[in-house]
Amino acid sequence: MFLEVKEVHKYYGNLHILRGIDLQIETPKDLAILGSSGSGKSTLLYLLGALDKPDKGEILIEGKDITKMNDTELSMFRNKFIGFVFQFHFLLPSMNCIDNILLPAKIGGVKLKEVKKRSQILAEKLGVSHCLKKYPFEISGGEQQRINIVRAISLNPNLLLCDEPTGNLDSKNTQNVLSLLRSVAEDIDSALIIVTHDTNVSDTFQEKITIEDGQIIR
Amino acid sequence: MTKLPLRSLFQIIFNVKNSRKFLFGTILGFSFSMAVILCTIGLMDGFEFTLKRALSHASGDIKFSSINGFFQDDLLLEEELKLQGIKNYSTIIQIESFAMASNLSRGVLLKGISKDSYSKVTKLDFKNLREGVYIGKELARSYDLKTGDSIKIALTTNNRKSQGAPKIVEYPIEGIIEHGVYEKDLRFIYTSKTRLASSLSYKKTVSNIGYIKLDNFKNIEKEVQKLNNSFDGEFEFTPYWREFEVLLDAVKIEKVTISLILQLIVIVAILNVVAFVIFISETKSQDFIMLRSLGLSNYSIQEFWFVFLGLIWFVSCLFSIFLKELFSYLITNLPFLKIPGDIYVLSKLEILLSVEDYSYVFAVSLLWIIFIGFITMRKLKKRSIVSSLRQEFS
Repeated sequence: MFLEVKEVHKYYGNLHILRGIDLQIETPKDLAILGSSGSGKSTLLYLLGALDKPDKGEILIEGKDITKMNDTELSMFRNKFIGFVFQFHFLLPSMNCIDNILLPAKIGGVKLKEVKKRSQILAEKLGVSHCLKKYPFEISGGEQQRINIVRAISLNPNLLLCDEPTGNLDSKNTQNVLSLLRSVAEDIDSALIIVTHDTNVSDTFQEKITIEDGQIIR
Repeated sequence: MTKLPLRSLFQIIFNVKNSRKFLFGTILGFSFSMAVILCTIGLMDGFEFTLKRALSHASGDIKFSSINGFFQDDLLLEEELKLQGIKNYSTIIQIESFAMASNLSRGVLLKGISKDSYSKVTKLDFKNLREGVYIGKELARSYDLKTGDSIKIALTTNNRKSQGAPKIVEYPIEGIIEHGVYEKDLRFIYTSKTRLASSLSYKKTVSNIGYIKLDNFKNIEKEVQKLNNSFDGEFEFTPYWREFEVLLDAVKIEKVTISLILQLIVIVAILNVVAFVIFISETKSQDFIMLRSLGLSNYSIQEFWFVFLGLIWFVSCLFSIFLKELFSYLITNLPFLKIPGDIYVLSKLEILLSVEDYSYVFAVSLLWIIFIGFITMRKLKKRSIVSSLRQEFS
């Protein structure tokens, strides 16, 4: 089993955000999590990405129960196993794009030479190789988004998690980014899980689930 | 262990000018507070050291006097002292009198000395002393006297015919002497013991005070105790600092008290450091959250902060030493910053610090920074990545 979520509950104060989520994914594949604002879809994504722990239940990724890991283990897991793409394609303004891309490798203590070489190939594929030496403020929003994707997949994560990656894009660019994400996920043999409130986006995925009031309704 | 090189973290933090300015201000404030404590302790230590050195310079190691007032400086005394291992000693006649010059009069201590033995014991130089006097530097300054001038000294007399009226003797000034102790420089006048004895109609061998110089590395207090036991109450032996003992004790107590009170300044400076950590945490929260999502552990961030606080402490320590040196230079070289000798006894005061003093100030400030850093880290640790993500990117 690639991913298994068992009876997961999450509270924020008095708010019961996730109310017993169960989810199984046999093999790495693309999945869209659809839901309205406040439904708990992003919370589920953060739990899957080991950014937070559930208050109840288990999350197993490739057989490893990430709910039982301590902060250091979770951090290592995030670094080696997960790639994040956020809606706000956040790049560190103090570093140029290649240094931003190499951050996960530096954090994980991975040899930079190989990652750099591969990142250059990926950047070329995504059409942002000319941006590598530039600082984030010197490039467009679309280019920043693609640099962000290169960074997310720079260490070949098994799971690529995207939180509303097309949230502030028009329909044409939305389709471009989606096909780009699918393409890179396929290239690195990674599962792609995307959170969206947009049915037009979720409709392009063969596998999708909808969350309402912290529960999977279909 | 997931870890980002320090260089990268510093690059993230200090890419903004405000962070660099704030850091500079924090270090300046922290080092200034440490420098204040160092200078205060250094002044106290400097006072103690300079006073003791000056006293030793002017009085040898041990002072002695007879319980009968006057005593005979004869072979018997010499033999008795030799038995106790004392080779260098000098006896003097010391009387209170008045010095008059430029229509002014001041109470002084007139010391009749044997210049060779007295110079050996005290290290004061009286090479030109013959029939005249040597006067203290401050006395010369206040009377505007110099070598070659003369000074009148009123001596008591035993002559019944004069009915207690003083005998005024005019002495040529043969030299100006500096003891390093303001009071002594203002009040002491030296003349030849033979001449003074003759003026006072005393026998040549009569003295009322003696000074001893010990061989190097001898424990003065132990020697004093030994001599007092040996002479069985006939003479009283005291260490050279006894006359200022109360002052020296007061300085020691003051040193501890002030050091404790001045910790308040360190706390204020530490609060600046806390403000800096909070400022960076807030302004760079997005960056830190992003790093956390990329796999940087909370432990690594805390470790970075502690290394960073350690660096702030280290640089502040170095800078505080520089500030202390600067202050030390200013108080010894700028006339308007010089210590008032009439208040502080000494004519000159310098900052002197031992390794223990530095260790005390730096260790206490390090403890403070670790303590405050620990509390701040605990607060920062409580923020989860997700709540921060929601807050920062909402």
